[in-house]
Amino acid sequence: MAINDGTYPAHGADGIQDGLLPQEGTAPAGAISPAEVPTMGEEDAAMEEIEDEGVDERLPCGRLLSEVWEADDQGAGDPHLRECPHCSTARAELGLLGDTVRDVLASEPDDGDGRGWDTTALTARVMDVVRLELRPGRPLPLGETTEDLWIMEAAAAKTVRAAAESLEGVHAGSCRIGPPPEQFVPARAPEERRSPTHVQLEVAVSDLAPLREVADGVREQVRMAVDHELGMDVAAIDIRITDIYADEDDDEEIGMPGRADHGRTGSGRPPVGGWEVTLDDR
Amino acid sequence: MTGDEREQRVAAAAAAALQVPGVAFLKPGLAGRLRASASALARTGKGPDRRRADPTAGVRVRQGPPWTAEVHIVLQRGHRALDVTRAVRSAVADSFGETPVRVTVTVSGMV
Repeated sequence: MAINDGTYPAHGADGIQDGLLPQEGTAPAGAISPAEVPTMGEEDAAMEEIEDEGVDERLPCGRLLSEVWEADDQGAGDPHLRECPHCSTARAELGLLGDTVRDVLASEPDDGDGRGWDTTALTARVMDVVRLELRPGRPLPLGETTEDLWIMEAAAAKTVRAAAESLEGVHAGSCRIGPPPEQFVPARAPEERRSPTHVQLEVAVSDLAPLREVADGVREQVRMAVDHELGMDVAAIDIRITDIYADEDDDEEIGMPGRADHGRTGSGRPPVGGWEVTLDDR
Repeated sequence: MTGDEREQRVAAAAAAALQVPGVAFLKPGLAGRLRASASALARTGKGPDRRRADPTAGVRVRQGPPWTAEVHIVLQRGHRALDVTRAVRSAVADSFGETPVRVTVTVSGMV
């Protein structure tokens, strides 16, 4: 399906809403709002328990549980996280959950033929599921405007990040997917709640990378993944290079598809310097 | 009884959704999934048996008319989200037989 590569000015760093949950009342007309997703009536109160498992939790100190988990994962140095008893407890609980998962997986006897299985990888995948449950983001439309099919933002973002990281020398960062900026689509009637989406992805790239080519390459990988793996209609894809890291291995073909062996962001290679470069579709 | 009918439809819808290729499971309850995954892998080297955990988690049905069904699925990698959700919508609608139903399907995760 065609991607509308409309032009629009570069966004500032604060142009992205960093809300973990959709902000009611601030979405532009026609934007997707979870409030517009059909909800059940009173008689389904018993079912609420199942659905509420995925709702993010605000700690007494005001921090969101998902934020604490994410900061812990990235090793962020916010002093509040160490000093606050609520956040410390939340971080300890995260560690305990991971340990419990590992113990459960490891305690099962193998089937006797000596073949073990990779508890580390399994643990990581389970914890992935836990995080997705906690912080799903908003539902995004799949397929045609008349279809009532959706995918949660966190699940779609996972696909986008994986597509970007299929390229050598690319580390995917924050990915937000939502309605396109109001000024670049015609005003929509409130009842037209499904609209093509807007993907915003931040990446860190190797300093050996030709920036324009890598950005274009990432955009193409993302476009293909969104079409082939999701079936989501995308209006525009913003790629922001937020970090450039020193890459000692100059035998690699940067920006080419291949085995992404650098691992996640924070692999130990310090960035040589970061500045925000927004390479938009033009 | 109304409640029984609704429960039956929930169970039928859940069973139908789980049969669709590409559906790993319906929105998981984590503790149950941990146990199911660990013991299934240890026994067989394969993934969890879908039938062992709560089969109706992730399906909500509103008494009609008009009937509505909301399904949350976790997608298996290698399957296209749009195709699987369309198939789930069809399968769930079929499970209602002659009764018209509006089905909403949401992918809440991937494994």
